[in-house]
Amino acid sequence: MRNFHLRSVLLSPLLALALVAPALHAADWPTYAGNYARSGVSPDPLPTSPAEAWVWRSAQPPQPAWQGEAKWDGYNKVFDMTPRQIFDRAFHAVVAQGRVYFGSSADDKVYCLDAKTGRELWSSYTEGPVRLAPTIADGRAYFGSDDGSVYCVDAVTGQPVWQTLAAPKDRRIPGNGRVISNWPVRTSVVVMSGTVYTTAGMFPSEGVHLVAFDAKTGKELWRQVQTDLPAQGYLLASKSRLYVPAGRNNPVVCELATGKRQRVVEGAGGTYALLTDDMLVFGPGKNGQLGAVEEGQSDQLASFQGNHMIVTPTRSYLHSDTELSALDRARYLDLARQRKALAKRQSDIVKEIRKLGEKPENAAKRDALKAELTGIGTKVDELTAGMENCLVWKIACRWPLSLVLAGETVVAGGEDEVTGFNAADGKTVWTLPVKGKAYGLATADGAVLVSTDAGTIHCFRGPGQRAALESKEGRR
Amino acid sequence: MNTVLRWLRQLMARKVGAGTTRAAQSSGALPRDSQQCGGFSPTHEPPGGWLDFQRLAEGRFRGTNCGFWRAVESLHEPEGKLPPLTRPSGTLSPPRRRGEGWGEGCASSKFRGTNREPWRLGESIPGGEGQGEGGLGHTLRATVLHSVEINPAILRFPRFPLTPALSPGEREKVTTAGTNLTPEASIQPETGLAAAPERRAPALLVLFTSRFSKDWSPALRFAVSLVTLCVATPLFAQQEPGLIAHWRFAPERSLGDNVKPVAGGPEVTFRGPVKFIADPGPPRAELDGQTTDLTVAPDLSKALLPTQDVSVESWVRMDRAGTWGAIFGALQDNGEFERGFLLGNRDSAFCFALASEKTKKLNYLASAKAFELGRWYHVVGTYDGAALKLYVNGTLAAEAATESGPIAYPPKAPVTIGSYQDDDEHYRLTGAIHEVRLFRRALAAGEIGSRYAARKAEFPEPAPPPKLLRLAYGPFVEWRDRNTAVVSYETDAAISTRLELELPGGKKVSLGQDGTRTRHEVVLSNLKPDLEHHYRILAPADGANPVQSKRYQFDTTFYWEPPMVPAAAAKVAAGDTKLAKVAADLLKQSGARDGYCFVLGAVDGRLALELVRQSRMDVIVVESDPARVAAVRKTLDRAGVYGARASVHHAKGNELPFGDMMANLIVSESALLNGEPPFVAAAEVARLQRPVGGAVLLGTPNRSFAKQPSRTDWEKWAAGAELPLAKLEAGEDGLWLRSIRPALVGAGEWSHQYGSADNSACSQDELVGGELQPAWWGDPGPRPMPDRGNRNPAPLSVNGRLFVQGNRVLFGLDAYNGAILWSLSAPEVRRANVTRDCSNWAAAGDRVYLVHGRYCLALDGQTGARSQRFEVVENTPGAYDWGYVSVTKDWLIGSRQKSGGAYLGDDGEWYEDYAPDQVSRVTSDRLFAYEPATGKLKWTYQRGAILNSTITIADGMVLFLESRNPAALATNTCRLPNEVLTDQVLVALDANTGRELWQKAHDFSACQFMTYLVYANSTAVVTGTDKNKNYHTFAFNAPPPGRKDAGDSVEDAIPGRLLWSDTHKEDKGHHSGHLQHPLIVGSTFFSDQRSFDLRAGKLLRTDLPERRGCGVMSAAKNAVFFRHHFHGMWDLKSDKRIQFEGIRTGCWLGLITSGGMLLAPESSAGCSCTHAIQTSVGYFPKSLLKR
Repeated sequence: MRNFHLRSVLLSPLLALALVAPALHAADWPTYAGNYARSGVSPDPLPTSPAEAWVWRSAQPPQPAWQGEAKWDGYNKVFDMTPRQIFDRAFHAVVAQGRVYFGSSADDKVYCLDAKTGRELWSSYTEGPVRLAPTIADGRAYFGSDDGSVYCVDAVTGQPVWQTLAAPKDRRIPGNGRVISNWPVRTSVVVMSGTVYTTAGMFPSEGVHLVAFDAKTGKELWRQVQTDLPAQGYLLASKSRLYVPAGRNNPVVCELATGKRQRVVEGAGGTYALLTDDMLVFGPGKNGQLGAVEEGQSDQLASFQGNHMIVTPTRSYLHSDTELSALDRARYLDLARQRKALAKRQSDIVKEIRKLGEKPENAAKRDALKAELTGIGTKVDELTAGMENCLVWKIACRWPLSLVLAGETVVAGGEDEVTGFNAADGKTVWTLPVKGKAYGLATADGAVLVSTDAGTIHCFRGPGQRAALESKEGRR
Repeated sequence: MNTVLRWLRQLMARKVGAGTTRAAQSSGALPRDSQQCGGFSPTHEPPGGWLDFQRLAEGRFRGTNCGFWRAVESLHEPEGKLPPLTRPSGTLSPPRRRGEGWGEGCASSKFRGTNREPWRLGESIPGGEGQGEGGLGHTLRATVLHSVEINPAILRFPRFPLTPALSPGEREKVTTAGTNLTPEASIQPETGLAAAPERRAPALLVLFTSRFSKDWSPALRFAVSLVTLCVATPLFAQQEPGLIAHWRFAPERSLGDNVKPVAGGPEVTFRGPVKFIADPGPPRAELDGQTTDLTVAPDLSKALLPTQDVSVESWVRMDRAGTWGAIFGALQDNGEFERGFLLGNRDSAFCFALASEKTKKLNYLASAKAFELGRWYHVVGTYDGAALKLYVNGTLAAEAATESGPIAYPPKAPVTIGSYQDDDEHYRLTGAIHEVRLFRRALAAGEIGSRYAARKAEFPEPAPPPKLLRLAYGPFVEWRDRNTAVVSYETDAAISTRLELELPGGKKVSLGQDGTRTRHEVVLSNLKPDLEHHYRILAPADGANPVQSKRYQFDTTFYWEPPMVPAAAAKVAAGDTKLAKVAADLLKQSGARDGYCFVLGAVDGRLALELVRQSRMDVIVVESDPARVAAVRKTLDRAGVYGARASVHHAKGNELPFGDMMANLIVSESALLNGEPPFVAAAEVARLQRPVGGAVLLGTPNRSFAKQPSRTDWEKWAAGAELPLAKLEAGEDGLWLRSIRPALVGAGEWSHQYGSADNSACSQDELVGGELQPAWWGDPGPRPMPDRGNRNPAPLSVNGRLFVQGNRVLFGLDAYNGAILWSLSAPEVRRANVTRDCSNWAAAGDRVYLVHGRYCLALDGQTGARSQRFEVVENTPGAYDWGYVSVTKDWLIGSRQKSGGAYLGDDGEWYEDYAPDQVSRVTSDRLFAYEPATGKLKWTYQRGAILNSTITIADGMVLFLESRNPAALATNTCRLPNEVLTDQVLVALDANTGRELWQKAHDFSACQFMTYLVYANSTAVVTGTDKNKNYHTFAFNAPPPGRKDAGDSVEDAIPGRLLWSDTHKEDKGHHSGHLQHPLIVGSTFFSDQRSFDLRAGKLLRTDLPERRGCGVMSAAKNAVFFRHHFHGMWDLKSDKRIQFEGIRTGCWLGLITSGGMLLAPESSAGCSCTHAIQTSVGYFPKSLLKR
């Protein structure tokens, strides 16, 4: 069983970085996890008693690229290792302007459904599996495919606007059981300020490309090539940076304007990642552990036992294989700030003491510093204890596969079920049946969309909404 | 209850500040060390000699308030003797870290500031003792007593003393401060702190009494408290003298992933699927020996271990006897460094081992009598500073007086229950533990006898042990569909069997056929995907003893069949019988079944749909006309096969984007239905054709779909292109252009462990080298593979196929496109440590020959079907296994070895060190040859104990080393240590007749870690390293029969003549640097990081590539492959070294060359690293590629 656990590391002061999200309708969920910080948070509340409005079923289930981690690390005797590459086990849905969009790794298409009825409005072919969700921006849908290309289509009609290779050339070979590009697009796309950002590449020795295109025309703006890491997992972006997950390895941080690499962060690897206002949280490593790396840094500042995390200005929600917990984030950060200041002083004192050496004439000064050090140590301990007492609630949770927050409801996906919890106290609000393992969650317009490894997308709404929709449908 | 909660809350809120203040006030009076420690050092309060609780409380609260929670919990400990208190959920913070010890859980903050190492409650202090009690006692009493400001009289109550954790220096200061508490007294639980919670309970009861009676007058409260204490104390005073901790492994004691101690501490943390069972008794934890750990403390420093006198008492049941095992362990036994102690087992005997300061060596004291598996035992080890004693069932089983003085502990070591764990080893107990007690004194013999007698009735006699059902053959598990699999196996006698299937969750289902038979088949239906199942085969009981097979595993994640064709496909294709027939004919003519089929030029997709329906291929339709692209997509989409089984790629020019040599079959729907040759040039078609059988079949059947193109049309289309071996033939079925691509010229094969049976580790492939590019990647990934490949059998590749051994799962792949042709769950197929053994498979032509128990099976390379079976010679069922295997078209050579001797590597062993259970060689007592085609036995050889790792076949000879020490054959195992393998002789047999050609006695005793034999160019080279990791190499003249020599001199004709030898210290110094298997490329012998002239022995180079990992090198004619950080290649022509970043191979031979490709099946598996990609991959040299 994995437990809530905060490692005793120091946190930095907050840097005032705003979350970056496409400017769309408030109820939209226009890209994976709602925004490019991949926060998984929607301000819109969910109904108190949702029920299934429609369900979409794929002819073939999702065809994930990777089967999972090894069964054990025999040398270190580590069992039940956590898969580090979970990004395509379900068809993740996004929602914009009353339409639901998703890509399919089973039939190489991107679909658009009517969010109210689940009726297919259009679908658009690519020539390889579409493993990650499209992004909707400015009335267009943008997506990448294992065929190495990025596509832009009209979000309403599905008509092609442009298509261009993100791969350096069109070379297709068998990869993960399909004939796909030597440089598949496996990070989805980010569309910001008229620019589309994406990656293409699997084998570092073949070059892994970070590319920017003009969103209107598809014209290539710049291209950076890395030769040490692949690019797999949802791309993240802040106002000034791109974050490129690297499969089992650790994310790469690049400059948004140019794609130039700034650093590779440290951690235990994994494709799950989100940006908070001042740090990158990613994992799950080999044991279900999320690492937090402060903006501008490479090394980890904190680690949390868990697979997913939701961060709001006041609270963090941590989701492990067996538990869901809420943390008083404001208090935690306040204490962390204090502790960091003290830690800095501690470090300075130690240096000063070293400088003084063992000379007898420095004894008094040395003793004074030591006394101060003792006092600081006491205070640091108090702060640490205080941070560890920031837990607001913790519950056992058997829905460990996905996590989002909508309004005041935390939604967790499990096998054949999703459950909503009251964010204030962790009490279960509702549990809904689905078919398969719920690896994908999205919320928009008061609806919950659940994507499973069986290839289904379930839409749940409140009774009022359903009745309204039914009457509308009836009038048609 | 609310009153209690309110009280607890008030208590918390009120006393944090108070404690801090008092500590600050009093810190000036403390010894200096204590000041540095934040004022957390105890002082004494004369005349009673008791401790300053206020300071303890201060320390407690400063860390965390979770200790308070623990205090409340501990009230339950006397098991119902106190009114139960409900955990005040939501009002107090929970323990900060579950799973850590009592002391640590309560106060793990860094009390000590920063100018010395953090010093925690519950931790040991260097050189100190009694710290465990400190951890327990401090927290509880400090919290409560201080908080309620109880009358100091109670603090001095003689039955309720406190003992803090004191360093020797601190104790000294305490003592000299004029108290009556001596250092010894302060650390003895029986005179100092009561470790057991039974002792704490009375005081708490008093506290509660006094608290709840707050309306009473102070005098009344005190009186009632005192009376209550006096009454209550005897009730709870069950302290066992000297007891440090008592852990009982019963369901009610497990909390989350911890086991609460009955007395003392800390809690035991468990990991893995520990089963706690209460009924039928005795209550116990069942340990599977594979995945479960019970950890008292991750490091000694957090444990409560005595300095000298010690007893460990346990009730335990062993279900398997490992070479090393521990019931309770706190040790390091790493080569020359031996420290700590353990109670456990060596093989089938219980043992107690301890290193004292006198010897600093672990003296393993073992019982002369073996334990019975499945029986409960009372096992006690004692040490009193002089005598080491082991008691089994109340009786002294062994004793020694070699040790004296304090226990010599290592600087760090985990403290474990049920596993022997140090820095180098981790062996888990298979069986059950009821309880373990740890004492700080040596229990007396009489006492131990009484303790055993008092409880032995609680432990039932074991049920009659099951007898092992040894299957003659199998089991194998094969899929019928995603939810159904078939288990097949054979028994020697015709019996009725049942298959007991354990469903995930533990429920068991009995399945089987009625009646007696030798061949059995059981269908497993309604299987859920992505879950592990286990099963056993049950045979009729033998008297009272059940008879059952080993427990096998079957994982439904391991399903690699192509995605299912939905029923909709049949509806879409309905009525197209003529096309269905043509599709069937195309498949038959080409022999294509799996992989990739290209349909170049489409009409409406009906042909693609038929090919999907009738084969396992992924069909790629390529069409330039957008309208046809749309039509085909529509057809395939309606049939529900678009994407996962068939897709359409829109060609936008004459050059196709597809990589070279990947197509198993190329056809054209436009030619077939419309009589139009493909829209792309023939050169492009030829480029896609896979070597070794890739087929192009283009034509239009007579009297069918369309007007046929003329011969001229086809000739025009094919003009200038090099369609290999293309024929344009007119027949009854029309005019057809047929092309089957042969093997690439210059391509090599990897048919045996080290390339070929000559063990040269060179494929002789001339094509691989220069720059390489991925040709394909994909499954198998890490999940079905053994962790990191601990010296496992190498993959094989012949005839355009790749064969890979996972962990008891086998795969056949298309070497040119990575398509999985078949997989087979074969739980009895496993071999590891081929460094001291040989591989268990070889391949030739269309077959793989796989060792399975006493048989060698011929598997069809394309389908995995078991087509033929050979049995080991002179076999007695159960007595012998098939050992070595080598195959050519002329012979199948095998060896016979005593059953059960092969290494399995199931516990993640590394086989890196010099230890008998790692370096002992697997040997055979017979060599024999069959004719593969007929199964006829050609010859048999027997003389000495043949070292499997040396069997080498080349140029019509079978070469090997054998020990002619009679003892080597006389033992009952085939796995022999160096001491037995004396009198080694190099032997050469005629491979056709088995007749001995020559022999050469030589001193090979320096080959201690391993012994290899490789051959090329009339030269046989023996290599090995001694235990100091010096390489020893001996090259012998070995001219083949009928050919005198490799040179012209008379000397060259003398077989067995030593040509040269070399000795050097290993160059690498880590990660198998001393275990490298040599290579021979052309006339150069490569070993370790050096190369030599093969015949002359001249040292040529000493700068072979550095190899960071545990792998071993392999070669083609122009390149050497190895693992550095990643897949690595050294191009011999250019002398350039490159790595393929982000991807690594395993810990033996995982990079092979064959068919013009570098093939790298995934073998890093459980690597803790963050290598970015874990996948199987095939690389082509760019020189072979056009695209």
